[in-house]
Amino acid sequence: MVVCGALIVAPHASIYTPQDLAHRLVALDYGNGTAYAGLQMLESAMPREAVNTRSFDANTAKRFAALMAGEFDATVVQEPWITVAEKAGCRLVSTTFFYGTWVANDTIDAETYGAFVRATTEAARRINADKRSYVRYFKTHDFEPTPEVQALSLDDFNLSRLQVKAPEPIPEADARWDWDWMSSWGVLSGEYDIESQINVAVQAAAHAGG
Amino acid sequence: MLRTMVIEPVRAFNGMDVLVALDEDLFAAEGLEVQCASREPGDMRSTADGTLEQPVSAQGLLQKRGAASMYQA
Repeated sequence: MVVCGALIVAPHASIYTPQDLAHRLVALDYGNGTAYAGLQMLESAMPREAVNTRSFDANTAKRFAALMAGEFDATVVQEPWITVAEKAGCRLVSTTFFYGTWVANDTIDAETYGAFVRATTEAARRINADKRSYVRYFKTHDFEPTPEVQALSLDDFNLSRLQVKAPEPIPEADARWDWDWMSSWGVLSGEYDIESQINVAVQAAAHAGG
Repeated sequence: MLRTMVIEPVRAFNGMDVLVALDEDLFAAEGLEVQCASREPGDMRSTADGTLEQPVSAQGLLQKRGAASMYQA
């Protein structure tokens, strides 16, 4: 699955670009992909010392409400809250996409993971063939039902933000880059070790079984 | 042989493909039963309590406890 993350500011904020967020407070849900996507959007626009973030709840509805209450200058949200934010007049100053990665323990063998890959590959094909229909999942499978999300119609969603891709093996170079990047922010430590991160044999067998 | 896999719950923004595969019996067609593990009270610890270097996240918690074999990061 490809996740879309948007860096949003309140409707009347005098912030129009990521650069405008230098030294401004940005709330992120540390520990989740959305937070790291937020850091990448910020650091692409300013020196690291100008990046000013604080931790906040992973529940997107809570981050959106706090943004609107003026608790911080910006935050990063995913769908359906990107659409909620746009309808509320918020400004998207940056958007990005990032992969969700499945983390399995050693009870998952190649045959089981291969079946999972084949099923989600077919699901990705079906979603991409009829995105407008499937955006209903954004309304039914969020953190919890909220009036803001329930008020959305399927036509409100920007389909270009729904990107679904069939699972593929993790490129080693990408995994190494991610490790090094997270280490540079102090989230991880030590040298990257592919054998402790990716079971190459299971991954290869699972993806070859199609 | 029907295989069973228990995963941590997903939401549409990060797991629409899984949700569709469940609803449209695509896992079953592959001989796979996928179950979403249930979270217990207290599992959804607030990320607000963490720091960048020491984040607090529910991701992986159920796998760590042995209640799920996969989660999405």
